Amino acid sequence: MNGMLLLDALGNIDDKYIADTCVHLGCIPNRMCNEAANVTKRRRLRRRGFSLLVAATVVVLSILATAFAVSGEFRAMVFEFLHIPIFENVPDSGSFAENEIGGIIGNRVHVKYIDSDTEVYFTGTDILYQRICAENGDLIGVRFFTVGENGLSVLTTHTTHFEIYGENGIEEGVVFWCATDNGFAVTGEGWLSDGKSSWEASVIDGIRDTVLISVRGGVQNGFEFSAWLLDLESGEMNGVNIVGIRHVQQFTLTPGLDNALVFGRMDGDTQTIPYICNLQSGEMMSLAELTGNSGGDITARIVDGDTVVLKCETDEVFSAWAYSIRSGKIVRTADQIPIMGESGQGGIVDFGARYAFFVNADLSTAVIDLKTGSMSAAISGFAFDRNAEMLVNGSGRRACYYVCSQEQNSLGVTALGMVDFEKVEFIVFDREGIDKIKETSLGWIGENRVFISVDREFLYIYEFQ
Amino acid sequence: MDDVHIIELYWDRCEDAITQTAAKYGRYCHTIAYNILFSAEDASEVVNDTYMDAWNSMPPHRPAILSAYLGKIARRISLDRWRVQRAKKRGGGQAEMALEELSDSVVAVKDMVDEKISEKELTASINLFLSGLSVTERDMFVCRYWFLMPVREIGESFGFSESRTKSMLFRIRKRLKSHLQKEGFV
Repeated sequence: MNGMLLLDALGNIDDKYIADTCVHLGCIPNRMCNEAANVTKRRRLRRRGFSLLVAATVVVLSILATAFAVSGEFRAMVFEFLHIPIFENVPDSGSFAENEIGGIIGNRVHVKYIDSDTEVYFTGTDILYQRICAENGDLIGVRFFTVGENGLSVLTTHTTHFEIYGENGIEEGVVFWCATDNGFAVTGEGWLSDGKSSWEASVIDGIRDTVLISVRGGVQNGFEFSAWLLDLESGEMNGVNIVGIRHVQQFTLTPGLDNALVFGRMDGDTQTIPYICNLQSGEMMSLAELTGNSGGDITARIVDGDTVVLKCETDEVFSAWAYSIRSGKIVRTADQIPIMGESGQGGIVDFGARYAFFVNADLSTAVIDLKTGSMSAAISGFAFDRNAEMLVNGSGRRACYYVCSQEQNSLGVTALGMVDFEKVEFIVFDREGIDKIKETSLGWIGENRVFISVDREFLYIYEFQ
Repeated sequence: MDDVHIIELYWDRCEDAITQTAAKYGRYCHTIAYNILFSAEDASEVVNDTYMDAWNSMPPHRPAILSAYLGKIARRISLDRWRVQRAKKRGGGQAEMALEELSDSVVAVKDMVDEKISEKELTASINLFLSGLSVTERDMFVCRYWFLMPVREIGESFGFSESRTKSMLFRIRKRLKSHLQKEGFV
C-alpha cells in the first residue's frame, strides 16, 4: 500500500514538471505548445513590484560590466522617445457593439475599437482567420479576414489539395491560404491515418507560392521528422533534404531555401539543440558546438536571411553569438551579461529577436543589436518599467512595449508603446479605464498595428504612425 | 484554440469547451489512460470521464497549465479504475510495474512511520526532490512514474538503450529513497 500512496502522491507533482515533460515527449503538437505569436495572461511571469518611472533627464548608462562594442554608427543612433501626454480612455466593450468607434491619441496613434462578432486567430500579418472545425475537432475550413475601415472584411480563401505518404499509403491533405498586398497566410493541419504522425503547414519567410509542410511523429515512431515544400498552384510536394534528425521543435527555412535552422536531436544528443542544415548537401552542423556552450537554454533565430543570432542564458547571465550562414563564421556579440532581475540590479532584457534592451540599475535603457554586438545611446527620457514586457513583430523590425496591471483575469495593459528599430523611435502612451474590460490577448497585425482582444469578440487596434 | 480561451469556454458553460479539449488534448489523455489500463476501450471511457470531470470542476478551477490539469484528471481516473481491475485480477498496463518498482526500491525498506501521513506532504517532498534533478533525469522520472510510460519508449524518446534507461531510473529511485529517508517518510 505504501507504493500506492507514493504513486498517488506523484500524481500531484508540480504542473511545470508535467508540462516540461510534455514538451520533451512532443505529446502535444508543437504548434499548440507555441501559440506564441500573441501574449496572454499566462506569459506574465517575471519582474514584479516596481512602479512606472519615467526619467525626466538623460541618464548616462554605466555599462562597465558589459562587453558590447560601441559601434560608431549604432552609437550614433539616438532613439527618439515620445511619451504621449494624453491617456487613452478605454471604452467598455459593450458601448460600441453597434457602431465602431475610434480616435487618435496624441496625433501619433490611431485607435479603432471593433466588434469582430466572432473569435478570430492572428497570424502576425494583416490577415486574421477563423477556423471551421468538424465535431471531432478536425479543421475543415478557414475564413480569412483583414481589418478594414469598417471593421473586419472577408478575404478570399484559396485551397490546395496535396498527397502525403504515410505508413498506410498515400493520403490526402488540404491547406487553406490567403494572399493580400500586405500579407500572406496559410493554415492546415492533420493526422496521418496511422495515428502516429501529424502534419502542419506554415509560411516560409519571403515566399508566397510555396509553403512548408512539417510532418512530426510521436513516441510511437521515434519522433521522426520530415519536411516538404508544397507548391500552392500545382499541389506538388517536394521533399526537403533533411535526414536523421528527430524531436524537431523548430524548423525555419532561409528565404533562399538553401539552408534551414533546425532545433532537434541527432543520434547521441540527449537534448534538443540548434543545427544549421545545408539543404543541398544535407550536412548538419551543430550551432551549440560552435558556441562552445552545451548547458543552458540556447535559442536561435534567423535574422536578415543570412545570420543566425544564438542566445544562451545560464546562471543569471546572458550570452549571444551571430553566425553567418554564408561564411560559416561565428562572432560572440554579448558575453556573460547579467540578466535583469527582481533584486534591483540592471541587466539585459531579451525580446527573443535581434534587438534587446540593456537596462541600468536606475532603469535608464539602451538598445543592443545582438547581430553586431553594438549598443545605442541611452533612450533619452525613458526609464524601463520592471512590469513591462516586449513582443517583437514578425519582421523583427518593431517591438511592442506593454505594461500589465496585477489583475489576475485580464492583461490589464496600463501602458502601450512601440519601438521602431529602423526609424529609431519609441512611442508610449498610458491607458485608463481598463478595469471595465477583460483583455485576453495582445499581438501584432502586420508591421505597425497592435491589437488587444477584449472579451474574445472585440478588438482594440492601435496603429502607430 | 489556446488554453486561455478553452478555459474561458468552460467558465462560460459553453459546450464547445469539450470539443476544443477533445481536439487538442484527446490523444494526450488517451495515451495517459492507455499506459495505465492497457485497453483502448477503457482508455476511451477514461477520456470521456476526464472531459466530464473538467466540465464539473471549471469553474471554480482556473488551471494555470491546462495540459497538466487534464493529465492529472485522466491519470487519477485511470488509477482508480486500475485499482478496481487489479482487485478483480485483471492485470496489464504500466501501473503494476511502476508500483512494483516504487515499492521495491523506495518504500518497502521500512513501513511508513506514520500511516496517516498526508499525501500532500509527500507530494511537496517529491517536488523538492524533482527540483534537484537534472532536466533529463526529471523528464525521465516523470515519463515513468507520472505518464507511466514503458521503459523502452522512454529510452527511445531520450535516445538511450532500454538497459541504460532502466539503470538511470534505478539510480533516480535510489536517490528518491535517500531523500525520503532524510525527510522522515520511510
